[in-house]
Amino acid sequence: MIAELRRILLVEDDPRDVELVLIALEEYNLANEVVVANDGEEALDYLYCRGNFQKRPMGNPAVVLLDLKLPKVNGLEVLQQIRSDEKLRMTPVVVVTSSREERDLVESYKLGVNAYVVKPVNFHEFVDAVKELGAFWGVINEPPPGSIGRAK
Amino acid sequence: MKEENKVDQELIVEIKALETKNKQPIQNTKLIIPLAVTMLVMLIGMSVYQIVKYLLFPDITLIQSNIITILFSSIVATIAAYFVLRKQQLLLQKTIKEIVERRRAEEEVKKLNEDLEYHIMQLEAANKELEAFSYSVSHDLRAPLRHIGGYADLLQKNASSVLNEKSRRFLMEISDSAKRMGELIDDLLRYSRIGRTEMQKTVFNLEQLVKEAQHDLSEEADGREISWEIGPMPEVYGDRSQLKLVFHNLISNALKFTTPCVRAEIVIGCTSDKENEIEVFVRDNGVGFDMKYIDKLFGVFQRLHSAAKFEGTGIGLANVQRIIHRHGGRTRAEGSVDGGATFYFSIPKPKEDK
Repeated sequence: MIAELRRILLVEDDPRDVELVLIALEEYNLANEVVVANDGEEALDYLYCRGNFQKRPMGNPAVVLLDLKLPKVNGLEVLQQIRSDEKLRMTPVVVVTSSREERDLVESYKLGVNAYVVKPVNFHEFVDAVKELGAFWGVINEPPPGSIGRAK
Repeated sequence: MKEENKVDQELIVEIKALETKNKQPIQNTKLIIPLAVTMLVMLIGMSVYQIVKYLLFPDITLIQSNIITILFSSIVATIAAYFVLRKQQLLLQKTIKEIVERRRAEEEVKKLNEDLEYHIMQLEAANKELEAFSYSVSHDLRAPLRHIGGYADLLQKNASSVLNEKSRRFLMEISDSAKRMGELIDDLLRYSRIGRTEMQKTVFNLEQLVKEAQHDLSEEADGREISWEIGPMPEVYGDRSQLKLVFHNLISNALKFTTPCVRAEIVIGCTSDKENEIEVFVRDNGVGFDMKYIDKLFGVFQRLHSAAKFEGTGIGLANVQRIIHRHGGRTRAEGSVDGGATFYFSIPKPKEDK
């Protein structure tokens, strides 16, 4: 079964986490459509096609995998911005973070997050979680109209 | 002197304010009796004077009589005025004293309130700091751990063929240690959360709660011979989910420390049912503990058994104690080496009107 793989925006400031996520996705051939933003500002630059992302293909990612603790603009602020923008608000956002602090959970859901995943400390569990996230949001889930599909 | 004058002035203003508030002068209401007494004394005085005058000076002239009358009236009026003024002064002093005392009391209450507010502010600040601290631990400490575990696993996977037995074991130890530290951090965060979350108190049946906790742990009891004895228990007033954690921890401990037993015996019941509180116990026939370490039993990350013998981080009983203390109860334990252990805790009973 060759499913269509859609673009994922990974917002993560820690290069090690980026590497580990990409390795986990690569294992299941899910990594080729991942765009990495290293902080909240870059994530917004990507979403609004500005800065380094001026020339990117149009359309929203199929999912934004969003860390919460980020330099400059934090994850909750990015989420708030996405949800308050007419063109972005339908984009699925999954918080992927280290913490299961209740106030983060409450705030994220209040702002309309689609899912909240705590990165497991155990690497096997981490790989499984990332793989399932990639498969579900990148392949199985049908994103809202206007999302970027895979270049065919 | 100036200060005193100022205080006096202030007091007079306050008395005036009191007077306007009561819509009549303070003196008038309270001076009716001395005034009436004075009038009576004057009436009686005048009568006595008339009688005495005619008895002593039957043929007195009109001028003489008038002079004596004026003199006598003046004396009586002076005496009466003296009493009225004195009474008025006393009343004024009493009012002033009352006002001063009330003001002192008000100032004391104000000061106490300020002290209280200051302490609350400090507590709130400490709580905020603690929250920030645990938030930071939760976020920042877990990430490097995940990386250590992750890269160790990747190395094991990519290079395991070129590594010798010993090196492979080293990698395994790194992974295991990272995993264990993750568990410790999670436990510590949970412990700190118990102290910070607000309690949701309700009245509920304890027996039902024990059965639920027992059911949740049924996997750990699978395939073992265990005799359960759960006595009748009354209703309590407390945070249901926190008290469930108490039973979960105590029963989980009982199961864990009876693993060497051929037949585990776990008894849960109520020892005393007093007017205000009840005492509950969880007893097992497991490996027990030495009473000389009793002080360490409820401490955070304190363990009386090696990790190799019994798994665990040593947070369970610390959580039990913290939850029970938050409910206003106490914890205690009894045990002996290889003689089993009994853990007791008390919790307040629901009040009648609840």
